[in-house]
Amino acid sequence: MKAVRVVIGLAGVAAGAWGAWLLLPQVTVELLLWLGGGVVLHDFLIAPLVGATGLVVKRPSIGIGLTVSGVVTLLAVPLLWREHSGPVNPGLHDRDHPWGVAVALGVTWAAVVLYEVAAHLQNRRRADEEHHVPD
Amino acid sequence: MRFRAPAHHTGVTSRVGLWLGIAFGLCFVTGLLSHGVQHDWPWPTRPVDLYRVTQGVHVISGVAAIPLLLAKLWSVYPKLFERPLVRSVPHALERGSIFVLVAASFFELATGLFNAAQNYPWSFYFPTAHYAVAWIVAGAMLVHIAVKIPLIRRSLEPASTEKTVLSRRAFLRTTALTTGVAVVATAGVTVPWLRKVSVLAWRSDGDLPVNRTAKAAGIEVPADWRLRTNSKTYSLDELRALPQTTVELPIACVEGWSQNATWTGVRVSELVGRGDVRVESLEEDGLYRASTLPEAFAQDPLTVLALRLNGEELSPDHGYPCRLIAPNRPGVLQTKWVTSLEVTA
Repeated sequence: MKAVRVVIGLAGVAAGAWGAWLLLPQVTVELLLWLGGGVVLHDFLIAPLVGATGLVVKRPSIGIGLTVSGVVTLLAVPLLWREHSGPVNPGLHDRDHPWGVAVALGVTWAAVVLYEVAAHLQNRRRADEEHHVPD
Repeated sequence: MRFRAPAHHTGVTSRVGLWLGIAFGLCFVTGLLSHGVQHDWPWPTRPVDLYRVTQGVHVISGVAAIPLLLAKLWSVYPKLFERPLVRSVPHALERGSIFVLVAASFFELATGLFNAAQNYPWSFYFPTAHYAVAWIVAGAMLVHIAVKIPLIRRSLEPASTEKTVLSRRAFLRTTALTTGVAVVATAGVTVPWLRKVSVLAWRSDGDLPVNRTAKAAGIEVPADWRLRTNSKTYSLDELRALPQTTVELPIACVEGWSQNATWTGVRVSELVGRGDVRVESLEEDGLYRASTLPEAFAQDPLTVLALRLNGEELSPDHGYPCRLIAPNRPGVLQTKWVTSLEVTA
């Protein structure tokens, strides 16, 4: 096992060094900002936000709804923020993206509401059955 | 700071890590193939849909990796607060390699997603930067796996006796569900039956998409346009008078979208002799104004200089007067507005 780990590790160092060598001529301040930006954004904004939400939200269905909404929102960023994007062409980038995002979020929260209603009805039925006194 | 949630258990980290490793692995291999086919590495002419599938997998596994990476990082988030920051030289190296892995992963997923939407809020050249950083992700991931193998093996063992296992499962299920939503919301770019459902796709559910319009490429077809080959030239009417071949082939873009279409035109093998063929466009500049068609593709009976698309004359945006269509090639190499076909070697 030890030998396997050493081989994998060395292969990793070689691949990483090759990537760094390819990247070296392209390095600019802007590129380094894009490289480090994700880590900073995640560790100091997204993750604390997730943690804080977890302390407030106690219902699992709402937590799942928020998680799905968060990822949908991230995926939508390049579609909605188009300041630096190429033109809208026939068949490409010509969807109604704000509407698409609204539909995705709408379906997500409709599912959450449906789940909560179903769970509520089931609880009530169970409670009724328990309180039912046989003749 | 104390983190007690079951999401931070090593068993959860290992499982999400395994899924993320699979997504990254698929992404890396298919990305490497796409790089190769655009850099004259050997590439087959069959199956005709191969590039469509590999590039579709590239984009879909990249999208899937976004929620998986976030779940993985949430699972290990407490480690960020471990003190002392560094215990020893190996520990410092390990933390360093993880920083490289996370930074490079975010870079790949963010730039890839923006590129799929042809959205460039940066000034560096995307293909070379995305390619170089892919090797860094792959390398740092291998180092990470090598370091963690004993821990991964231990943590993947069943832990059914522990009480918190149900909520661990809930975290894994939420991760899987979110990944599924992300995939379904975008995979319609390449999967035809998902086109209407994928509301976050970067293409619509209509005719064959146009990546670059004739206007954007600055195309003006001269009235005396003729196709040049090594030995002779052809007017459009002369091309129409040659034997016509109809093929059903996809346009499969590097941005992951793909669509089948029916093309009619003259076989390239009937216009040029044996050898690699240089295909040039009327486009005066632009990264993809010309392409090289390796001999195996040039001689393929499915490789056509198309004059018609889905039964109608090519529109200017689809490459009027004629365009190349070959099996199993990325869309950017299916040169439009062709003006010459010349055997180079």
